[in-house]
Amino acid sequence: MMKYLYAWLLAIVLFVASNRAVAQTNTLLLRCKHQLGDAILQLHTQQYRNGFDEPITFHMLKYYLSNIVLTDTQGKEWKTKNFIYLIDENDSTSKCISINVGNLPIVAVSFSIGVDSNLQTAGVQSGVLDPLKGMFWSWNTGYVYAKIEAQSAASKAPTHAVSHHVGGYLQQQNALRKVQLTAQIPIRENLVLVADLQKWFNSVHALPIAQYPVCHTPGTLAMQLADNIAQMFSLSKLP
Amino acid sequence: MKQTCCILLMVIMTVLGVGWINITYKPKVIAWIVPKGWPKPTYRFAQNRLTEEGVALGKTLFFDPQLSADGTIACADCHQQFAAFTTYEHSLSHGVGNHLTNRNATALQNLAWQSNFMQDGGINHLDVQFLAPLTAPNEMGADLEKVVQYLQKNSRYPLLFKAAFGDTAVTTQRIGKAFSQYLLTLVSYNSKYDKVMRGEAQFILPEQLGYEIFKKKCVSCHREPLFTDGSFRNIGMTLDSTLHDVGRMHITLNAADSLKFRVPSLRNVAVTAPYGHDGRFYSLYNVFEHYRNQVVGGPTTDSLLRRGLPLSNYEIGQLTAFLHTLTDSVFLTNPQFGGTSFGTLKMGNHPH
Repeated sequence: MMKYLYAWLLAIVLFVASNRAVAQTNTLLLRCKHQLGDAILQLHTQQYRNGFDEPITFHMLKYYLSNIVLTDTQGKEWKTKNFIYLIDENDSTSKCISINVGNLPIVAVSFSIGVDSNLQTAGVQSGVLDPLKGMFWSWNTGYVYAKIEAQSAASKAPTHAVSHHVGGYLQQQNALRKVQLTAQIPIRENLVLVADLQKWFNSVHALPIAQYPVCHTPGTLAMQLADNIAQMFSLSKLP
Repeated sequence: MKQTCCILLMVIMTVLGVGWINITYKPKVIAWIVPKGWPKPTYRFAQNRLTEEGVALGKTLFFDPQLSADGTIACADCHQQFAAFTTYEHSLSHGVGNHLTNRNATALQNLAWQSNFMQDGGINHLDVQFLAPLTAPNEMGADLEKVVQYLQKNSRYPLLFKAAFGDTAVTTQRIGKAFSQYLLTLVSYNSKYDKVMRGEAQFILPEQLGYEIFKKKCVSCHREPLFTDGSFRNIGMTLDSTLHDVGRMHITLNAADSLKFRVPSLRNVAVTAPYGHDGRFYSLYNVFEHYRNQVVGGPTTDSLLRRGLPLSNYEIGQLTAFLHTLTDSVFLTNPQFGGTSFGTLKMGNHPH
């Protein structure tokens, strides 16, 4: 009889312990949401106006998010499973990243837009860094950190293209940007990372389409665009 | 009972079969040897172990014109073994659809000692090098995704990938590693010069005199034993008004690098005409003539060449004799490199 009692007690202890373990780790979803001002980005079909009143229709938006770190109210840091993610507007699964965190609310999020230089000098990479993903310069080794393909009547480039490929890791061409965001109210539920594409063209630097329709190399323009891109992000809680 | 036995036997055979498949992946490792007295290679072999199967895959890819956009141009078409893997008698190489490239194809030799690639040094690792000529619209013009699909659907490539890497998966990373494995085997170290240095042969008088002149006037950039110091220099060639090729500056965006190009190795130089980054010099004589009479002194012209490089006719004669000792016929005709038979035959059906 005692045997059964012990077994019963053990089962209870295990149950409580496992429950506790569950309570200590919490999976949180980080969702990327792309907007122009308050309007949600829609590829191909919707025309928007940027801060210079230039019309623009987007066909592609892709960028690398790396080294994502969430900080909770006690200052403990939580990292994503993978070091780097490729966010693609056209692929909804890519826009949702799950992160294991503790049971305390999150107060800050930091990440980089781009690819660490040590991943750019070590030969062909795999996964989201496979050159097949279209985010790689072959003539001048390096990753495109963020890119848009769009069209605008304001662009004098062939087919009125707006084509910005932003990257560069060499000294004086470095387009990797770190972004640090704090939540206004500590977040327990899922996080939404809002990127406002208005700022792509106009925030730190004023880069009207008429003047800068194309960026296909590392350098000054790529670094200016990178400064702007880093300003796009803000944190909000799912409504 | 019979049924149980049968099932048991099937299970045993499956287990053995799976084991056998795993055991069969035993690629033959190639011992890659640094020639005596040569510096340590820069390529990290530990991250891409050379095997016979990997080299075979790389070689097959190198000679396959189906990788290009219209199935006409293989790597080997612009990198011909008998010309030390340059394009024989071509100033600029030819790409798909009657395109001309912007530069003279460089020799592919001793790449393990090179830390960046292309004449402007824009490519930072041998494993990623293949992506540039493969996808450039004026070279092979291919779409990487289509190349991977072609290799996956082909009847023999999946087996070559399996032999080289353990399973049939075709990935960009594996393609790059296979290319590197093949290219790393292209080591030229058996020229007459090498034999003289090893004490296996002797220079004849003009060669010896040429070597002395070489050591006085050329060796500071064309450093032995690789016959390049790997640096980028402006040797005073004028900017071609159709190509607008500023060389290294294209990569660094630094005006101080304008018109600088990689110092080419002089190994096998006698068979790699034409010369210069755009192949504007048709013979060695044209190159010597440039050095002694045509160097243009600009802001980035190399300090060693500000006043040109004085060379007498006599010196040019002796230097030419010496440069011919850098021709490595073992390298140029090595059947293992695969370019000695069908590489040359293919010339017939490609409109070069």
